[in-house]
Amino acid sequence: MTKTDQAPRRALSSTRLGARSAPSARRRLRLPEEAGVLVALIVMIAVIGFAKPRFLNPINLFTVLGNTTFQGMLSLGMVYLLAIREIDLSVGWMFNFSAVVAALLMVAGANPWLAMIAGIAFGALLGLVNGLLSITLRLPSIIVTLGTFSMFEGLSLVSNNGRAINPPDPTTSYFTLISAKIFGVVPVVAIVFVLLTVALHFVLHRTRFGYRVQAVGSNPDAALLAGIPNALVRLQTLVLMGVIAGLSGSMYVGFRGAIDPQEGSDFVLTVIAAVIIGGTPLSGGYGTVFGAMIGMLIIQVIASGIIFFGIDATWSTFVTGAVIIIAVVLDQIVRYHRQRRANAQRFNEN
Amino acid sequence: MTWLQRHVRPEQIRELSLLLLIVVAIFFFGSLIDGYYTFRTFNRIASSVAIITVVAVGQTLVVLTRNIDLSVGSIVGFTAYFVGTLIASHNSINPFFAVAIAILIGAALGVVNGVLVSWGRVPAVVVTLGTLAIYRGVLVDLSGAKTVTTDSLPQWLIDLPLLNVLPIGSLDIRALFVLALVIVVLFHLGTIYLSFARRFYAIGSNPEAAQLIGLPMKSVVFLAFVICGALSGLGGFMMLARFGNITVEAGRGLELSVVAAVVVGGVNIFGGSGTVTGAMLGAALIGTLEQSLFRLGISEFWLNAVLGLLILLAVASDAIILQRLRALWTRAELKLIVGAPEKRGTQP
Amino acid sequence: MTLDKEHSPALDPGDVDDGKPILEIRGVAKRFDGTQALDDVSLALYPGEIHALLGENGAGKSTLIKIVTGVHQPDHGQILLAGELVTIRSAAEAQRLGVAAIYQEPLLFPDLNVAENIFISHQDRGSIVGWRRMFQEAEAILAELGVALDVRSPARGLTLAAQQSVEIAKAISMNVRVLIMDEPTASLSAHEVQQLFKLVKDLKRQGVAILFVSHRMEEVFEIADKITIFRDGRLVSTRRRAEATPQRAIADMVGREIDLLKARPTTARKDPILSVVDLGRQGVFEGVTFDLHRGEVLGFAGLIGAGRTDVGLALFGVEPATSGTIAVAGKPIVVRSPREGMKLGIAYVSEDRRQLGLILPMSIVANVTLPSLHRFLNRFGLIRTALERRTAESFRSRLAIRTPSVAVAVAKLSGGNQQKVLLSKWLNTNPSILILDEPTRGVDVGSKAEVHAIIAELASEGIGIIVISSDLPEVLALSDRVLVMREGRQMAILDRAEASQESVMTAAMGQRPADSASGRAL
Repeated sequence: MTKTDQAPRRALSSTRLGARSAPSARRRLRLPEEAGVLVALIVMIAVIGFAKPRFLNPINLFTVLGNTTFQGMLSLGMVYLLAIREIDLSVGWMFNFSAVVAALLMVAGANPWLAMIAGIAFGALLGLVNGLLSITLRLPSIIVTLGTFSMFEGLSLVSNNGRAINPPDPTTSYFTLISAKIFGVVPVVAIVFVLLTVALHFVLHRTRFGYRVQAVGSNPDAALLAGIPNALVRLQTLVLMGVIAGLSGSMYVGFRGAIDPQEGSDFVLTVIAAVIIGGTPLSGGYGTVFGAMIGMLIIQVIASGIIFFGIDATWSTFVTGAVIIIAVVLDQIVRYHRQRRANAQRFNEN
Repeated sequence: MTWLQRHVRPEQIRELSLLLLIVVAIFFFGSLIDGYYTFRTFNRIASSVAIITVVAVGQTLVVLTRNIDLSVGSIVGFTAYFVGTLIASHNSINPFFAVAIAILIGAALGVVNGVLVSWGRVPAVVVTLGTLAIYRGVLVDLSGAKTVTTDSLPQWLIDLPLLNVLPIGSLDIRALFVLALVIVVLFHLGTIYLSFARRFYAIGSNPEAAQLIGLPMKSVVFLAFVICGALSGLGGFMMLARFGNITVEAGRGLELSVVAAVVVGGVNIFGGSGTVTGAMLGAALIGTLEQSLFRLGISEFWLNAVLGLLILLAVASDAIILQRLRALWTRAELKLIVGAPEKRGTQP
Repeated sequence: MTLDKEHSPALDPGDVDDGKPILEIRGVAKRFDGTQALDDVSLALYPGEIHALLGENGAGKSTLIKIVTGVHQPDHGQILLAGELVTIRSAAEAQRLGVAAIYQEPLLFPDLNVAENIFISHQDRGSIVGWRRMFQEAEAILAELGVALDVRSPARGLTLAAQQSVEIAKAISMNVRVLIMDEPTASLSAHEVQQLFKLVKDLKRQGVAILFVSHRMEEVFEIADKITIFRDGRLVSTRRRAEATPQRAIADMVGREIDLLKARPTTARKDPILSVVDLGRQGVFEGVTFDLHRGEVLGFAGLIGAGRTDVGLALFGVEPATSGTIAVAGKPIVVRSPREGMKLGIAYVSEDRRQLGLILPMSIVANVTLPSLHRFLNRFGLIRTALERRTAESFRSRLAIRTPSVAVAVAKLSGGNQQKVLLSKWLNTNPSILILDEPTRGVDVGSKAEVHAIIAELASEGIGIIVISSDLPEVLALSDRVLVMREGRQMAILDRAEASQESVMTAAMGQRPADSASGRAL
């Protein structure tokens, strides 16, 4: 990642990608960074593919993409949160709890599609809980969501009695459609993931809400003076995270046909790491939705690469965690040096 | 400005209000639980508070430097399990050696956190969320799902938590509790009187200024993580002594109680201010809530949910109390300042 | 004395009565990614001398300071301290060598107490903190400086002036030989500036060499012994104060003559756009009553802390008024938040550009359209980026914002250009009432004149403008009338004929005309 980042960055930004997005100032500034991560992803796939050509089989690659979907969608919401200088540690349990609620409704005989909508609404409710706690009590979201992490975990385990929930009749349209693969290759969930990424990218860079998120995250005082209702924007962002968690959870039930009691409990690290690798800083101010998607793919490629290299499965938790951290370390070091150059330049202009 | 306002800072009154919260909590649970006001309850709460306190002291140092360590629960579990296994297989091991091993294991895990944060330049949240998973993962992988059981441990370790150091009437002050108090006193004095400890405050208070005057930021942050790891290792040993039975799940979720204790205890989550004694009071409140809920006998799943909620309430009421106090103080100061307007800036 | 002749053309090379220089910079050059920030600069600083450094933003002053304090390393050239060649690799090393710097924003630790802040970078005080001794020594230093501060109270909440006193105490405690002051007065009131100058002169008497950077010409000519001018990374001239004049200094700085302070022709019309009666905010200010007419510039003068900014904040709804009435175009209104202020056609351009004004990492485009985004949405709620960009471009040409592109992050612009972006942002809300708080603070001379021209033009378009400024010549040149405040109260409204430095300062100090003597201070 360190080496591949540099040279292609300039080339890409000034030619193809730059030209396509000529009218937008923000995108032209952002894209180079995403291009760097993209190159890293391609190199990584190439390296693994060179060693294990089986890895490059489209079916395998699309399976990787499909597997990233559920955490990947969460990371898209997390981009908004980091951009506005918030964080949500409870995403994994929001995902789980919404999935459990949707699955329980299906067990109770609800139409799966309605249950999915209910799951999304429930996720929004959980996000609203986080948001209201954080805003009315004026607590940092890291504290609130550390607390709701435990709350949602407890309540989810109360509702499913600590057992997996298996909705009946997994042959209805909901389950068959969501777990389908188009042309037998491209998972439907992956398409939803990609569409959501594109949509949220546009929301961040082309809507008033997106502008406000970045403005508040960058300089809350100035945003307030510019007439932006800071608290409302923060609340909206936390609710958005809940909606996405609800969507991801409900789709997961359709995809797997069940929800395990602990599923999602360890998502938060992967989700935040993907966002950071993608180029969104923890310090807020801007975010890159495509970056988060690519970051999630990098993590997933490494994870499945580990399997291809035949590393003992009992060690996979450790190796995955370690690889995530190493990836973030390398990424931060690259960014640090780039930042230093940029700073040096700025000093001179002051 | 009253005499009180001139001589006492709002942060100090808040520590008093925290004591008040603890008393309220005790009365509340006392009215719900029969036989709550006994020494047995006190001892239970005290030994739980002792473990949270020791880890919270370490967490305080990390939070002071504007970082956070979410991996403490895993470090506690990790040391509790491995020191337990070691003692179980070598029953003749010297107790002090065993404690030293626990502290060293914890410190070594803290070194990993510290290196990644200081020299890897990765945000502490990410690093410690990662090591939270990694340490627990290694523990699960290496243990082969075996557990440490009380009957495999030597007698001194089983007796340790019952060891009565300071009998006051029929009230026992037990070894673990005293150990925690000693740690608090040591670190309280240390954070006030040691030059290098003042740097924890300086760095969290204004990192840019710290950088500019050349404070060794990386080594200070590193040190904070190592100390936090070492104290978590000690906490792991205390957990082993207290429970005897240690599964791979030991200490899971402890980070929530510890971070909550630190925040409730008045340590600014954005660094720079807070005291070790405050963290101890916070730990006392959180420990009381935990143990009392446990005594209420609700299901373990509900326990999680209610505890999460209560901790949030505690943090929130604490924040609100401090806000009110600060506002009172500022208003008093403003009155003073309007009398001498040239001294006043026009910040909105 | 080894000042290069070709780089100090204005100083008589035969003049050697200064003794040996304490700090000598020889032929220093520094390049950043294609820009020559410093080009072969040589400068000597003597003990007991106050040497002022003047130049527009980007002239190289900051780079020079950063090299001397070890933040940057020079590409070429040497630094000599008391005749010895030194390499300064870090700020800590600079302090060990007796070189300290004080910045416009003091770098204190808000959670540590005053005494700790003074002694924070002492490495030789042992590993145990001796609190009592530290408090005593801190008190002694502050007493020597004649500053009354509680050394036990935390630095949080100290006024800027008090913070700067602490910085100076810090420098003294380290036996500083060279003290660099980078715009130390930018946020101080006239009274506080005088206190600071007293301290500086004390240090000078003790033989400390002081490098003093400021944008305020009056101050430089009040305190400096020598004045060095930078332009485009080069040293243009070094002159003794007696040989220098402000006009010459400005000409050297900008490379052209600038007519700074010509009074603006009045454009005030008859109809009031804003009427304020007996406005107050409890404990902050009270009894403010005035009319602002269309096309009028109403200056707000007074010392820092007189409550001028608070009136502005109340009018815009940031900190709403608690008593009195406000009417816009004759209609009584209530403003409770900036949103409501904006809806009423009020715009407030904050004095604190970086903290409260701009979103620095965002582009010029995004900053300009931020408060008025609703006008840039298409019917799907998406932002019309082309329109956005056109708008930013039109402001760029209208206000002459110098930038390679409107897509550049605002953080990369100079102070003057940032100020113009901030103005654009608020002009884009089409205000009928514009409140400008310190519109030229930290702005270089050239840009200042441009900002003044913009204000004049806006007034002629019929906007009612309130200018809050501590720069008295600026207020007098711009304003049709001047409202003077003191200690949260309105002292006078002076029309053009009455307003002069003397009359304004008299009112601001609460003195009778007879004993007015401090008109020069601002």
